[in-house]
Amino acid sequence: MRASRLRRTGSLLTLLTALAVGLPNDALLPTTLSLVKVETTKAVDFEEGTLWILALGSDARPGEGLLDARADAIQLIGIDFETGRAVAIGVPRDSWVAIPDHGSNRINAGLNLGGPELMGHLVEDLVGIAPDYVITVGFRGFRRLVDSVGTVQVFSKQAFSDDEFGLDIQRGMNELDGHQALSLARARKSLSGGDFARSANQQELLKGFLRRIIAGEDDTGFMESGALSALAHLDTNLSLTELYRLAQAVTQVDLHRVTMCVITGTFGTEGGAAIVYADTQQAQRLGRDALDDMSLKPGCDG
Amino acid sequence: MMEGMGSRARRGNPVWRARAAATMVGPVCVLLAGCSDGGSPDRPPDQSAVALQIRIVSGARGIDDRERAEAEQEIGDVLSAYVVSGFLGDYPREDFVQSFDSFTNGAARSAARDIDLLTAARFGDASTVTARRLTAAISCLAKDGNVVGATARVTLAFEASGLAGGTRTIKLSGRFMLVKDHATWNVFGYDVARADAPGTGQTS
Repeated sequence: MRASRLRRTGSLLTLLTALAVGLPNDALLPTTLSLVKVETTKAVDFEEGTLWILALGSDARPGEGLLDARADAIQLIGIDFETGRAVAIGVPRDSWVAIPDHGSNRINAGLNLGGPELMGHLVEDLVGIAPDYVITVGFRGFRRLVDSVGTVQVFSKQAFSDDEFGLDIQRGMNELDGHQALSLARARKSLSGGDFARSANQQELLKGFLRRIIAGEDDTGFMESGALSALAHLDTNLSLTELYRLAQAVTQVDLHRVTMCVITGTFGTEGGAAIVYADTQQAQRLGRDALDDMSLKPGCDG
Repeated sequence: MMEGMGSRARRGNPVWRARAAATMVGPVCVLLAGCSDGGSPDRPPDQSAVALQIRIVSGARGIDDRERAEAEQEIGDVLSAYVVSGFLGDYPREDFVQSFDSFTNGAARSAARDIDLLTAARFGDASTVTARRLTAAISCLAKDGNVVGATARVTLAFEASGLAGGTRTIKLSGRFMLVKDHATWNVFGYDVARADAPGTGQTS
């Protein structure tokens, strides 16, 4: 929970000082000028201490069940409600992992093979953190979710264009609607970092979505309509009121205290298919760091 | 918890009985202090009626009048109980912590840490604290015609008198977040600003 804080604007003090200097003493009437101290506080009760959410992006095509497909995006998100810190650990979708009763496969196959529960276990094996909740969204749901909040402001380290998705991203902040946001989440071939860079972009999208929620939390009906939209477009076992409480709770995250890393690895082939051998040691280090103080070291070395 | 608070407040203050006659559809006025008839001009200011004025401002589409009125009434009960326990009552007093009886456990723990901002605990030595303005605009979270959550955007203003430093005005504004769980409304979060100032006798 965010501690009480004092909000006194410098501009107000400056104005008062200027007035005091500019007016004769007998004009300083206490009934016409007063400086009122404004104190603010905020707290939202959702979970004790920390919360871990595994966010999955399903690549289900139209007519296909959300869970009958692969996980195109895999992001483990942690939030410490006491400190306002949050982390995101991106898992390359092609990471080659052992799947119980299914031999070895890309980790993204876990969604189809065992649903959100299996995906939770696979990510836990890799990172060492068991998610409290798994939330899955499809292409259309993600697009509509973004559209339901208007647009999202998303940071990009590099400018790039993607012909496949008709995407034109500027270096710095980009204001994206639902279609553009989905395109950024999916674009890979135009990125020099391939799947790793795409995962990083997905994290920036998550941060942009958080930025939008925080910006809109004071708007009448914004959080309520957002919760309804989330319920309509996400696959989750959270109830509407739980989603509502979660949405209100995440506004306690301090955007300046969000750290994000993507698990690295090396490219390889298995059975003729391109895969990634994830750096499991780095993944475990990232997990330990996140568990330690809900932050990740610069450089993502763990 | 909420019911207990509401019942206790009703027993302790006869004007609560008058709220049964409040309009069932549209803005609900929950009377808190002074009188039961909306205030009469011949009374001194500190005896005038101050009602918690509640109205639903968004999220009511698809809700019938009965559900709407019930939501206003029930949320009004929770907020009224909080206002009574947190700011009004018989002074001097110290029992402000009971103001959070209708908060969830986690929210109540946080609120206890923020008790100086969420109640009139700073002015427990006052001889009286009088309500000057109490409004709540409700944004509803509704599903299948039932209101299950809400944000109450409040403006609460009071005047504390009998203090060593003179009269003080107390103003609390911001949001309280509520959910309905097993037919009981609870506050699970708050995001408020508090501004206290030397009293002027009037609060806008």
